[in-house]
Amino acid sequence: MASNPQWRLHQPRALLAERLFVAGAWIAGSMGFLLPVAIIGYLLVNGIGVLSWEFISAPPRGYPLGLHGGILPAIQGSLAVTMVALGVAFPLAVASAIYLAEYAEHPRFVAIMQFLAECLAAVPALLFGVLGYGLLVVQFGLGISALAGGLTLAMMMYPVILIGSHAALQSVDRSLRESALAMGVSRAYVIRRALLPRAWPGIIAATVLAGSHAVGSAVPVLFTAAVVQTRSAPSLDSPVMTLPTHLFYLVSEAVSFEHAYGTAFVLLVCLLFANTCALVLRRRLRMRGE
Amino acid sequence: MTTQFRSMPATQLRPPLVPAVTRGDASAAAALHTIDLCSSYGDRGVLTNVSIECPVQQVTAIMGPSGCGKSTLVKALNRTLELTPGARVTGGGVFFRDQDLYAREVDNRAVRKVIGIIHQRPQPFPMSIEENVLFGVRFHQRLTRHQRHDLVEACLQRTGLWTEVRDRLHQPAHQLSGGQQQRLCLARTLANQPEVLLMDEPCSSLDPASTERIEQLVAELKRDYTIVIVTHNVSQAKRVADRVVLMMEGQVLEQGEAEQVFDCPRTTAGADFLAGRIG
Repeated sequence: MASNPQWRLHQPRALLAERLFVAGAWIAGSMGFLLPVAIIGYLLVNGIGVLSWEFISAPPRGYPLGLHGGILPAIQGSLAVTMVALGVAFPLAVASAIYLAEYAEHPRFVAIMQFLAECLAAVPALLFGVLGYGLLVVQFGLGISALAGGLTLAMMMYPVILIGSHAALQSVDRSLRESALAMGVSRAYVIRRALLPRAWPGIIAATVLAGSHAVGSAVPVLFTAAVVQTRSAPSLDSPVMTLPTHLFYLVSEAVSFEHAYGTAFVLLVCLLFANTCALVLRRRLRMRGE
Repeated sequence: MTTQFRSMPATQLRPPLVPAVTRGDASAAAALHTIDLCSSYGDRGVLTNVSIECPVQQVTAIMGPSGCGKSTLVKALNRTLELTPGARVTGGGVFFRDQDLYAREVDNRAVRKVIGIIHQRPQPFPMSIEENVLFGVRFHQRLTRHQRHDLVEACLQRTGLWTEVRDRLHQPAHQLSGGQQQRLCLARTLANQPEVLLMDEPCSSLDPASTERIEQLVAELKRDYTIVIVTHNVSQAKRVADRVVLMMEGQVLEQGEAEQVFDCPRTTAGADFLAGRIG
């Protein structure tokens, strides 16, 4: 029997292949861990010199501006612009997704809308910036302002939230829909009480993805909302500083690389904080949605 | 308990969606009947000229081999068939107390409230056990907290769940076992105060003990409700049915009193099915 190769119990080649595969998977998997840790560590090491309470609680000072002082107006500005964007894009995108998933009747119409949303999501941020400038800032006369920047970011976030929410709603079991409608209740009632509780985790995930993408991008707000320096607290009709544009200014004008690293670190921590909040929220909603 | 359950304050009902489809005295012999009902999925015809009768306070079993259109028929009875994309009723009619349910002015929501349906696979809604029972009621009626509590208790008592879940009414419904979930689905349908209960193979995903429990419930509930139950289990039909409709390839093969159909089927195909030679 031992002479018959088919009956060999010890197969070194198969074992080797298996081990190589496992090793490959480990290396690939560890990239997902190492990359963010390395980025955060690098920023921390290079920016630690400027990180202090003053850095996040004071406006920039010095000449050229930003050489000393902090980045408080940029944090406030980023927050303001993102709130405007979320406030506009989230309800619109979720409403569109509900329409596409629950009310639109022709499959072809849904497919076309989905395709257009995907195209919109693939449009480069620069084009949104130019569109926002041409349309909102100039045409609608909003001027360079937090409102114009927020609306530009909203345009960017809209397709991402729409696609994610649509997928989340579609992944809800068909028979749940049928059972709920069979109780003689309206479609809106079914959506509110049976479908959305199941879909919220997916919708939140898409929103966080869209939001963090938008917060971190400098280009759309560069033409529509951002200035190098502001003195007052952010308001809708006045220009603001934002974290990514401040970072861009610090680096491109070679003001202070240490301040740039510090700013990048703060931006990253803000995003991590937002992501963590979303994670907790999603877990809560998932538990409630079961 | 039964009278209390059936006499929920009628004054608090929302205005009827359609005046003709409301609770009344169960006087007509057939609560539900169809005349030459035809339906199709897309271009494919499923039901052809189906005429059946479901008498008041009796259990009508719809039987037949897989794919013969049993489920389509039972869904057409309360206008839930149109929830399936592509499915529609193409001819004939379904009549509840001589009111055509497919008439233009009839609101399908009112129909679904009066004629409740239990599906094959229990599908608890993503909320607590208590809220599951109240799902339809919260839409159709405005009740005080006290009335809601009474209704939940009454419906869960009726389906034999109360003693099992009274301590965990606020826990998610998906934590219940399959059999309990199916009884919960029954309870929430009863909370809607229907007159007819449609059951689409309610036991096919349950274990024997739960199946027996559901069959007991069917026997108890027929005192107050007209019941239509779809099954392809001949022995189950023998246990619960007063009246039997045998279907094959989208048509009614035979129908009549249960004893008559089981003891001396008129057609060879019917006899073959009941003897287990077709299935």
